Amino acid sequence: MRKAIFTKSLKIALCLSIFVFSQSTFALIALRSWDTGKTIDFNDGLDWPDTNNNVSLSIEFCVISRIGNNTTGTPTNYAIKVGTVNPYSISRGTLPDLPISIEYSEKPSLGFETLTPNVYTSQTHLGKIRCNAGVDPDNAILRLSIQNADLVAAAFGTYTRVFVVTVIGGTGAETRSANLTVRLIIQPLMKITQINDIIFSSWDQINPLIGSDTFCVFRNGAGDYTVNARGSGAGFAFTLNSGASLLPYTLTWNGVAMTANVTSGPKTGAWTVGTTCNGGANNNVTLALTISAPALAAATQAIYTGTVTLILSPL
Amino acid sequence: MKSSLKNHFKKKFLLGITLFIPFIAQAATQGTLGTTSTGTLNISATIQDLLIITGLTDIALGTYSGTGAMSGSSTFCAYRNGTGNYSATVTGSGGISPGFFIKNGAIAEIPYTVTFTHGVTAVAATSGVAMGTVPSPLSGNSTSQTCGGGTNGNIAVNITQAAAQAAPTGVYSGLLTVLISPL
Repeated sequence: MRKAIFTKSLKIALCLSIFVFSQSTFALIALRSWDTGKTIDFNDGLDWPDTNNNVSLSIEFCVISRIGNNTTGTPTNYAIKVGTVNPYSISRGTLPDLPISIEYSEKPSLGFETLTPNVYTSQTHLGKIRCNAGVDPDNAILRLSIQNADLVAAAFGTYTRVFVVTVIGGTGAETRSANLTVRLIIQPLMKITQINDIIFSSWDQINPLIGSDTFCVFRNGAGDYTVNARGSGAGFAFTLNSGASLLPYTLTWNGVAMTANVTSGPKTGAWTVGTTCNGGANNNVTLALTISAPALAAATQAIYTGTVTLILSPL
Repeated sequence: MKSSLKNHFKKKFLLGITLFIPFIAQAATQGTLGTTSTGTLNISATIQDLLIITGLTDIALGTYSGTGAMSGSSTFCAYRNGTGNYSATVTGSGGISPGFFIKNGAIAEIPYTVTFTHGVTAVAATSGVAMGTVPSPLSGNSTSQTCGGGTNGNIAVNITQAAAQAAPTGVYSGLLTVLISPL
């Protein structure tokens, strides 16, 4: 089962500092634990995607902004910005970028504000005079989020981006920057929708009874897939039943005969733009079910029911 | 003495009710987005009672010799899908009068009787009247629509000597309709 919400927190421990001397005092602006860069992996250790929710990732860190030394100095305000691309996104080569939002908040009192690419926040966030690992708690947090709709619409693959995080503070002019690499792997995904039950309305007592349903097979990005069809009969046989009485049928997938519980060869033509084939307007697979006339004529009078289960897997 | 009679019975069979009624116990389930996706659809069919009577042949009574009754018969196979009995209704096409008559145009008619036999039990039929479970039970063959090439019933017609001798010269014909229905 996938997790309902994907949220991770990472603490990064490095120290980057600027010492600026201003007459008899010195000022410092620093990002603890970050100046060597860091890869933030949305997939790290988790079964992503949770296809029903947005995903977000929180990164906590410590910002020093002071005048004076780390024991007698005075904390001062700082501003922060995250840049590189506008709007924020992560990229997979020539494929469309995947939008991402970045928010910032002080800690421990949270009040997130959405960042604008390459634009500083107001310089009103109070820094610390020191950020000793294991001693001084983090005082800042960045939250990165991707909307579910964007995830679902994105083609499979590995999306990355290096963001530059910059703080400005100390005496008001010093800056420090660090790289933040974000990575997201979207696996090949499939979705089958627009399925309807098959209804038989009449039989001419001569010809086979044929019912069909046309539905949508979606794959996030170009590629083939396979299908495994399972009937509700013994051993997944294609049979309807009424108690012990059976009524066999056959199935075709876009005209190609299927064998019960046998994975097909490669199927092509999956829809890749939106998961529902435009609400059914572009449904791309027809499943046809046939009950032969001899089987119908030989069947005992009864109500026959059954279920067909279709399992799609990307190749 | 009466002239020769040439009587023809034509028969037809009626197939029992055959309908599929839509029946959906539950709705199809749509797949979800994932590394695999599974959807299901339900299939349902209602097969009502199906019957078929086959193997009937026309009964040609030939030319009347002037003495004795005239009779003929046809065997048949009555099939029903599954278990259960059936009822038979034999209806004559009528002559000038309704019922079991053969006629020669609008000039003359000859009455006849019908004996319906299923298995070893015979019963006199009344035109247009369902025999119900008489003789009971009337169980059709449920394994083969053609009784495996055999028969399980017989329908016989008989014209009495008196009726034959009283008939004007001519060619007489009629139609027997045999309807079998599930019980």
